[in-house]
Amino acid sequence: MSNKKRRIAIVEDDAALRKTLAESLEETGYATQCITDFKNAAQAIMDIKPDLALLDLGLPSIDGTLIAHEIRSQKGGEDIPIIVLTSKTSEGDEIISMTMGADDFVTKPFSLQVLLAHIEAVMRRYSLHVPLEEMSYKALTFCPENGVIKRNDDQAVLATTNSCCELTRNEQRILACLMKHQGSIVSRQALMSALWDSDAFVDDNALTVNVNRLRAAFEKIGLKHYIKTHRGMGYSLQESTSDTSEVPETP
Amino acid sequence: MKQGLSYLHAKAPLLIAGMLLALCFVCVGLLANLPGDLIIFLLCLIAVAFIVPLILEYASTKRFYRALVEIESGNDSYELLQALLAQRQRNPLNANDPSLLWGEGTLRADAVLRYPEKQTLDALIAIEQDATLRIAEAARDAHEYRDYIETWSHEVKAPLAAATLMASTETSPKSEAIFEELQRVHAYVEQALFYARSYGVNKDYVLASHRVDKLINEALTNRKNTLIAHNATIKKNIRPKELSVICDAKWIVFALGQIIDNACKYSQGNKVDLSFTAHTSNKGKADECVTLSIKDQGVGIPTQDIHRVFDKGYVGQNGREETQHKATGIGLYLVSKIAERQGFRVELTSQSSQEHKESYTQINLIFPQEKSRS
Repeated sequence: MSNKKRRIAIVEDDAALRKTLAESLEETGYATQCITDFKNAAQAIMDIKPDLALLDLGLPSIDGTLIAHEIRSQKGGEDIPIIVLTSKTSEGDEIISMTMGADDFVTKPFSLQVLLAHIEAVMRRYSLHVPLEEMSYKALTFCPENGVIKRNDDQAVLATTNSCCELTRNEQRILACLMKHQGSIVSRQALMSALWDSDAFVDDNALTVNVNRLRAAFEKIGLKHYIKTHRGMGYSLQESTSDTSEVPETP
Repeated sequence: MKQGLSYLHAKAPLLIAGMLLALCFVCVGLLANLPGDLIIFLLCLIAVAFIVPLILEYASTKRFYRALVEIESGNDSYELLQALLAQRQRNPLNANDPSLLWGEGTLRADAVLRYPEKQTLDALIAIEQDATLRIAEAARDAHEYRDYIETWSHEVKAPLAAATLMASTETSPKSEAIFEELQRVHAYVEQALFYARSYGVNKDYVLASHRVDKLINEALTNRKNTLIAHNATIKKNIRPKELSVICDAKWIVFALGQIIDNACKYSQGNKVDLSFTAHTSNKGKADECVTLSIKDQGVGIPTQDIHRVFDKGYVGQNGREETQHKATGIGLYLVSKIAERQGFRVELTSQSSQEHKESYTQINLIFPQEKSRS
């Protein structure tokens, strides 16, 4: 597992967006560097040699597409992943920027989740992929890299014949969300929203079914009552004596 | 012949008056025991007195309208015609201003022939030029306004992007609510932009082959929060899975978004049921096409309103007194405009809850396949 932080160069003229991009990417675990000299942006990026460049197409007085082209035409420039940020409503600009060397584009406005998904996808293409870290909660370990859950306590061998269990994509998404907020309640809407981001357009019933399947997977490795239902509110990853909270918690 | 009849129809009051007068005169003559020859002679005089002017006027009017139809050239002053036309409108029975017909105090035959028509023609042409100038000016104003909307929507997306990103970085209920509201703002900005673009000959689109399921997924993801909040159930049935159409993705995704918005606005109960199906029809033949259907189980559209749904400004009712947001009424109008522009057809069928137990609205987007594109 690499400890080196991956660096992202940000070329965006809107100050508020630039600041938010830098802050949220850093919070996610990337290192960022903002470039404000747009005329010499291509050179600046070549000097920094970032692990990925975010390039806004709507820069004043210079076309972001040309910057991408300039980067690609220089020696070593082919190795830098470039994602273009665009607010145009026509596909034309995007197609042109891809032809000129961009790897991917993200349309404004975008959420952080969407941006991160694009960044990770492009980095994976360049084999810059750092394996996703394992997540743990009490006796449970979840490996997002291969979508498997396993027990990490001594009871593993004694309790059941299954020491690990593979999860479906939907179950993985739900668990990742619950893991990130372990101990606190995640709303049903937040869970559905996370599933919809990966084109799984589940409705309320489907969510319940998926959570129950996740519980069944937990039982396969001998873990019970890890997911708690909070009626009217959502779910939490919380080891307890039963699956439902006794009293509906009032916010 | 038709013109003659319509002229007589217009002069009917006068003719009736004449005939009554003749009748009265005949009666009086008979009562007064005037000789028959005299009565007939005077009757003829009355007839001539009425008929000749009518014929003269008919002739000049006919000439006028013939000349009017032949408007092609001429570029003299038009103020006189404006006055003529104004007078004509004020006093329809007194079609021609006597002072003009009489010229310098006498009735001039050539004046009757040329004066009214020529000046009428000139004046009409001048009015037409004036109107053309004003239309051009109005068109320019509208064009400038649409350009402004284009620029504005581009500018407003900057703070919108910053705020959306900020709202998405936190997971508090308030941030999620703010994110949802910002999505709504973005939807309205997009609508304004596409509305501005729906006019004129804007060729700002790129046609390429796109997978139908990807287009639907994008539209659904764009309306993620609204759909989840409306407790939506989504069904997709696309055969074959890789089915593609030739289109500009942005415009189609936008159109689908408008349809999804309507499904949410005019839903039944507190649930939305959306099903997307796509298949190829008439495979192998010249009129092969791909039909993409979007069906919702909302309140539907009353039969008498169905022909109006694509009109600008048509706003439906959803059974409840107020809709949650007042609709702009241009969603479906834009869909039909985009269809025109991009070369596909839109069909709508619906059963309203007022008339049927099972209500639904189904919109079909029919894309011709590449071979049948001209």
